[in-house]
Amino acid sequence: MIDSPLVTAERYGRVIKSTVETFVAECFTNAAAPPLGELLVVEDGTPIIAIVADISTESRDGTRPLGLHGGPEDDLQHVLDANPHIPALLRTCFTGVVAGYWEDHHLRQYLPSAPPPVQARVRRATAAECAGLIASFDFLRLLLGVAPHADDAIAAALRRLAPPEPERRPFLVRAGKALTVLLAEDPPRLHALLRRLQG
Amino acid sequence: MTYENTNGNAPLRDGTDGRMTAERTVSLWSAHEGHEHDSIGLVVSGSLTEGLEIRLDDRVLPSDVIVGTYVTIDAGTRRFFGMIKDIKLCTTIAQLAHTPPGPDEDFLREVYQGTAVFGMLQVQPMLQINDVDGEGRAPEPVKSVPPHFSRVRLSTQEEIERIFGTEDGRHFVIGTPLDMEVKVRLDYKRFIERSNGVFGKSGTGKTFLTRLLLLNTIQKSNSQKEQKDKAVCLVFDMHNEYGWKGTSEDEHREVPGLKRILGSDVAVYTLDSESSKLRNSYPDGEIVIGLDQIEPDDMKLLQETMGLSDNAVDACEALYEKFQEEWFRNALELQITEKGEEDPTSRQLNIHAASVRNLKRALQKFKRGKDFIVDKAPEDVLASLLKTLENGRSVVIEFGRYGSDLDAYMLVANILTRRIHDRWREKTEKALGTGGEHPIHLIIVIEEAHKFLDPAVAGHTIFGQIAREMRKYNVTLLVIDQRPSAIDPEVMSQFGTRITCLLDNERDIEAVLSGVSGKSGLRDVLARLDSKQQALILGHAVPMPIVVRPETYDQTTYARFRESLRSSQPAKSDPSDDSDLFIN
Repeated sequence: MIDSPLVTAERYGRVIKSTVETFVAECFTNAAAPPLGELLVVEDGTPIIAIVADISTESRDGTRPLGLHGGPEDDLQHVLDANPHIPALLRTCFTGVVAGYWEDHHLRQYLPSAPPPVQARVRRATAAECAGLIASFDFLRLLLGVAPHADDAIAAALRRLAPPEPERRPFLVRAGKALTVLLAEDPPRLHALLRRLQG
Repeated sequence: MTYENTNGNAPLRDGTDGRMTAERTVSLWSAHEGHEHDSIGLVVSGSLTEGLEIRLDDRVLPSDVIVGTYVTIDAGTRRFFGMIKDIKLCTTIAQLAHTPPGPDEDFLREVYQGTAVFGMLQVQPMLQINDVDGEGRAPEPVKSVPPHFSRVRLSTQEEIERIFGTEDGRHFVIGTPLDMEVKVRLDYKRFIERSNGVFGKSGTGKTFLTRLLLLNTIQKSNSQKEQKDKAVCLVFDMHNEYGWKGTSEDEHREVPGLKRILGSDVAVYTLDSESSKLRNSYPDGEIVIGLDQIEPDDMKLLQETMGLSDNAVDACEALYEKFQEEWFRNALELQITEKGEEDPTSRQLNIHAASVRNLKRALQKFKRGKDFIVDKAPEDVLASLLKTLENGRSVVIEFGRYGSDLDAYMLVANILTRRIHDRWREKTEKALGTGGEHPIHLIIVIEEAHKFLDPAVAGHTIFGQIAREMRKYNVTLLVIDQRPSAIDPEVMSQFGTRITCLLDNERDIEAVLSGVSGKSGLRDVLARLDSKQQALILGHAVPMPIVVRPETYDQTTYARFRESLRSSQPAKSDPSDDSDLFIN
């Protein structure tokens, strides 16, 4: 469980595109993107809790995609040293899948009535905020239908959310049980997801 | 700014900490306190006739539940009681049956248990209480079902005790349920009100059960104040098990019989005084049967075993019409000439030579070896028997060596019962007509009952008649049998209470449960009884069917009976030494 007070307010970026179910945010710093499965909070507006479901790096200018530099013998560092302008041409974005929102200090595990505002800041969720989420597993339903890499993101999020041993295994079993109910109609997917949890 | 969840420590949706430990499941069974935590599942579907389907809670393993035990279902102000009759394994993911978790996939197994795979119970509702805290607290036969999602839990000892009656003048203990130390009691008055049956394969403990029933009945009868509530038993003891002593089947040791325990409340009569002497049994009298007491109906009853042809049986009727009580002797005196012609008597009665031969041969063979048959029975034998019964003393009739002769057993039982029934009918009719006392309630105990109550002969035996009459003349039956399917179904339907040990024949099981509501579940319970020391009791004398471990018949039981005998009637108790009755 993420607990360090130093990163309580680590802000990753701002929302640049959003729907009620998902949003895309651009990172302040390309190198400091949230990992897959991380829990995020969107500030500035109705506070929303979300999970990182995708991260991408691409050229800032959509009309001018970046080509390759250097030869097969040049490693990455060599290329960056030789082309210091490259990082400035890139931007890193991440996709957040909405898992709930706060209303009067109660965490609701369903979709908010409005998408997160564009330009709202996105930061890492605190341990206390995560605790509210795992009180029940309702948010899993929101994740399962939405993102392309939902399963990996879910597994990653649950592994992150799990408390340290000896609570870890019972927590993952409970999460697995919640998933079993949701994915009863899709046994292969359920099986694959459960294996990721266990791993 | 951080956003904390103010209901952050709310419990999980399923109300537990999620851990499935061995302690938790065991505690479900030892607590028996009726709290919510003892819930084992929820009602999810079903019907009154087919039974209710209960979805087991995730933390309850199907292997922790036993068929035949009782559950309580709480439904608001109503409470239902039922018996678990089946346990099923179910799954929401069909594929798991084909590709179950592997041996090293403990995580998957744990995840699936209770979610994708779970147990279901089938429960037969039997009683309901309509107003748990109010006036309607007595259990009644069930007429409705609990709503969906009603909580189900194991019945507590207190509930079972309340249902099966507290210790009072009206109930006697018969045993304990399978998994509790509560007492299960039969209602004495309801037990003696109707004819009853004790059934089970051979070796399952019918004799022990019957001894217990008789001991309790006689004892309870003694404690009744009103004459109309008392009862005496007349036992036709085929294998010398009930009188002075009997044997314990598995250990081949002796156990005391009714007379040994109840002393002068029981009289023993014997058909075979030699055998009684050898067994150190001290009979109060001897039974002899006169040829003049045998009737053609007895011949019909024994037709098959005696090898009588139909014509020969008709001949008996004809002879009886002419010679009345002397018919038997006259039958033996019928002659066939050397030319194979009938004598005048035969001709007059239209009896052909072949029939004469058949008849004479059968009757002679029948009479041979039966030392208890005399030409004319002395009056006092029957009179003594009747007087003993009328005075409130139970009687055991020992058959000695004749117990293995089915003819002898059936004949004696039929004849004596006929006479006794006649007397009881007379007294009852007199009481109804001109006033006077009704005769004391009489329970006639017969073994191998299917021989007397087979559909072919039930019409010709006094027993069939008694069963059908119900309690008209204050006579009922207690039948002991291992082939209930051979008993006439109409007679079987008259049995109020049925106590059965293990039966494994489908037809026998069907016969015992005929006319019982909710029998589909009971069938499985019956087929799964242990071969010893377990019996299913159902019918008039219990509020709902129950599987019991009968009380053991040993020093403590014996001591209890002697004690209560001494305390209720100190003058009558047998002064003989009773400390060594159960020595091996």
